[in-house]
Amino acid sequence: MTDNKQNSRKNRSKIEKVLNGDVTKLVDLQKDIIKRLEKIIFELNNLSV
Amino acid sequence: MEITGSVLTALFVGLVWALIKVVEFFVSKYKTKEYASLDPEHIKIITRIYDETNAIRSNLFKQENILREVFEHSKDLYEMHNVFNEDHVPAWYVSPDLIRITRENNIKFIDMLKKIGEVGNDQDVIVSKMSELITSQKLMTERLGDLIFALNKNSR
Repeated sequence: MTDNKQNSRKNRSKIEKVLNGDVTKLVDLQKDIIKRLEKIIFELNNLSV
Repeated sequence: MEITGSVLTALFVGLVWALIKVVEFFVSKYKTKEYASLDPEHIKIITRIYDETNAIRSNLFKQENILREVFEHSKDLYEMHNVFNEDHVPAWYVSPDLIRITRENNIKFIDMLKKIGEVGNDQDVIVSKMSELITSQKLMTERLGDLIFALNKNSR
C-alpha cells in the first residue's frame, strides 16, 4: 500500500513537471502571437503613411 | 474539469477560421484592381502582413495540441488527488478558473477578429482592434503565468 502511494506520488510529480513544461510552452506561443500582432500593426501603420 | 478538450478544440477551430477571414480580407482588398495600382513597397508590406498572419495561425494549431495535453494531465492529477484523499486543495486546482478566463479571452479574440474581417477598408479600426487583441493576449499570458506559479508552488 505504501509502495503504491509512493509510486502514485512519483507519477504525480512527473505529470506536474510535464504540465509545467506545457504551460511554459503556451506562454511562449502567446508571447509570439503578441509580437506578431504588434508587427502587423506596425506594417498597417506603414501602409497608411 | 469544467471545460473539456473538445470545447477548446471548437474554440481554436473558430479562432483559426477567424484568422483565415482576416487573410481573406487582405486578399480581397489587395488582390483586386487595387492591388495592381499599389507601389512595390506596399506590396512588400502586405506580404509581410500575410506572413505574420499565417505564422499566428500555425502558432494557434500548436497551442491547440498543447492545450489538449494540459487538460488530459490536469484530469490525471485530479484523479490522483482523490486517491490520496488529501485535505488541502492542490495549488493547480485554480486551473479551471484560469482556463475559464482563457476561454473568455479566446471568445473575445474570435469576436474581434471577425470584426476585423467586417470593417472593410477602415485601417484605423483594424489597428484599434489589433491593439485590443494584444491587450487580451497579454492578459491570457499573465493568467498562464499564474498557473505556472501555482504548479511550482504545489510541486515544492
